[in-house]
Amino acid sequence: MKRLSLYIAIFSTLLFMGCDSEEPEKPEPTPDIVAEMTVEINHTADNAELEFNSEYVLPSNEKVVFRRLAYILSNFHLVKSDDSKIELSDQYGFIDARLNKTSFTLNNVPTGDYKAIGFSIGLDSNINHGNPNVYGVDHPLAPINNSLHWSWQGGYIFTAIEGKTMADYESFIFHLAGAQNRLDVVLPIDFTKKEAALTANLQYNLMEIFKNPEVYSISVDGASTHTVDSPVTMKLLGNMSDIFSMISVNE
Amino acid sequence: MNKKAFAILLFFFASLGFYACKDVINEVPETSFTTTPYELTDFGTLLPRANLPEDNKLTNEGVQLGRMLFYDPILSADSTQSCASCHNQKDAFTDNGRRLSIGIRGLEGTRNSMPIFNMMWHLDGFFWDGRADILRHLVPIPIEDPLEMDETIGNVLVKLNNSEIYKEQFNKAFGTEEIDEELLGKAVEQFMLSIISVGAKYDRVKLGLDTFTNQERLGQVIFNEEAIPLSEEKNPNTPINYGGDCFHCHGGDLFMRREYLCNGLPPNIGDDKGRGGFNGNPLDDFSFKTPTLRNLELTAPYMHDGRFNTLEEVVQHYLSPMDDSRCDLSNSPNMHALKDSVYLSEAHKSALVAFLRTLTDESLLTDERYSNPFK
Repeated sequence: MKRLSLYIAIFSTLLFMGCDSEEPEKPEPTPDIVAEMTVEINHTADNAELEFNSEYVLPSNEKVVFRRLAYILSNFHLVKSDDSKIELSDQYGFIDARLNKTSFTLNNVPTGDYKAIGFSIGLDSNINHGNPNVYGVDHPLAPINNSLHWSWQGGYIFTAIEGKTMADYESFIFHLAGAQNRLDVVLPIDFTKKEAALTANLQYNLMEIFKNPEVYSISVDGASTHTVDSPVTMKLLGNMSDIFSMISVNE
Repeated sequence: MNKKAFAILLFFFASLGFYACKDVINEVPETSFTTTPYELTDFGTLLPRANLPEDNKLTNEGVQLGRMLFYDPILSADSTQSCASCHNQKDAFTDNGRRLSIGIRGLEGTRNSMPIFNMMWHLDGFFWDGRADILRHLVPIPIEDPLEMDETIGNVLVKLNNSEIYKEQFNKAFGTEEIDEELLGKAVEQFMLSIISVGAKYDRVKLGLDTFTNQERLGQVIFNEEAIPLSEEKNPNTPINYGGDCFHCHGGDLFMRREYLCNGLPPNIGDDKGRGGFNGNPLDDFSFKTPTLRNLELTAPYMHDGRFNTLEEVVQHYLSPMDDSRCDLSNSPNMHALKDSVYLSEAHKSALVAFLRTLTDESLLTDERYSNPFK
């Protein structure tokens, strides 16, 4: 009878196991690593939040209202504490501040200690002049998504800054483009990537483009860019190197 | 305990186990219908990749049902008009050259009928004011509009649920004979999403199967050049030709842009505020959907109210002083750049129009898959 009890016990166990066997076996408990970093960009006019219906006074003393600030970021990379570089290839950020598209998420961010985040404003030549139809409609580089594609010959507009001057209600259109005008940015900051996703907060001060190092006057220097090597383009680009600053990287 | 009793007990437990497991499996509902995935026109990389709705995958059965509904006057109150009445395949799914469409009560609508093709690439709503967010939500609007089909969705559903043919078709496509508004929308959505136009001369040139004439090639340059003097026009005795700056708003291979924009049209009929009238945002007043220029030649007349009869008139509008009494054109800098100074010679205007005509896809007009299934 003892033996029978044993058999029953075994069968009962088998019975339960049999039914349960459709569930996947539980893996060994390991910490979930989320290899993501969300980049959030805060757009300002100096220390004020950038708004698209408010008047601002440029360093040239011209009153303006901004109507559009849109740009494309690429070539993301992280610099480790030992100076080695982690490339986050084939990832892009599309920002349209007026439409509140001000963040994006980078994937494949390995754990480790870092000291800087780098990226380009704009694109490499091969991507810039590639077939834009290879991207899905919601991809950062899809023309229908970003309204920043110039044509196959022209490639992408890397940065679009548009608005009007309040003195004469004339518009200004700055479309910065051309693979040779890609701008590389490296922002130093010490941080550690552990298991959890990170959020990087950056600031983009639009006023920088109108003042540092050279004051830009819309009435004197020009209200539009038409070629990738015009004096207007060159002067604005020359002011862009410190348009970004790093605020924080947090889990 | 003898061997026999033991065997019975063993059998009992084994059966119990088997039964218990079988019971779990039986809880999964059985599906009695199968569908075949619909094969879209292969557009390669001529057009961008698109997102189709995950919850309404295109099937042969669904597309065919949507096609039937699209062409069936059962959707209108007196069974005289179908969707196709105002979206006619031979006019690239617009309304037979009419400025405004006429509904079943003989009343005129307020806006020009929009073409229906390449719908899967529209990211920000449908209609001139974008009041339908996704295609399936578009379907009831013309049905219930008193100026159009003047029917209620309730009546349409009664009619469809009384139809043995439609009950069978809905069962084939969606696995149920109970037809509701959601499924009606999904069926017509599938058909509209299936209509793809990518057979224009423009596309053949990109594939290397055809070539532009010199005039068309010049038109393409004008289309894609900013509103600045064209470098080859330096003769001091003639006015300087400009780029047309069309591409900022009708760019890419879809020839459209997702934003709703004001294009400086002077007041016409009514006080149509367009996007602003729908969403209440004064910044969007007098802004309208930026339509695709594909098949433009087939979709006259033009603009939201059909005010222009020819492409030449449309081009002339953008070369003329624009009316900014109703919307601040300096809010649309690219339009503002066109406002005062763009000049195109007659030859350049003709070249631009010649290029626009290369966007015509004749194959769309006769494609069996999009035609009336009742004929």
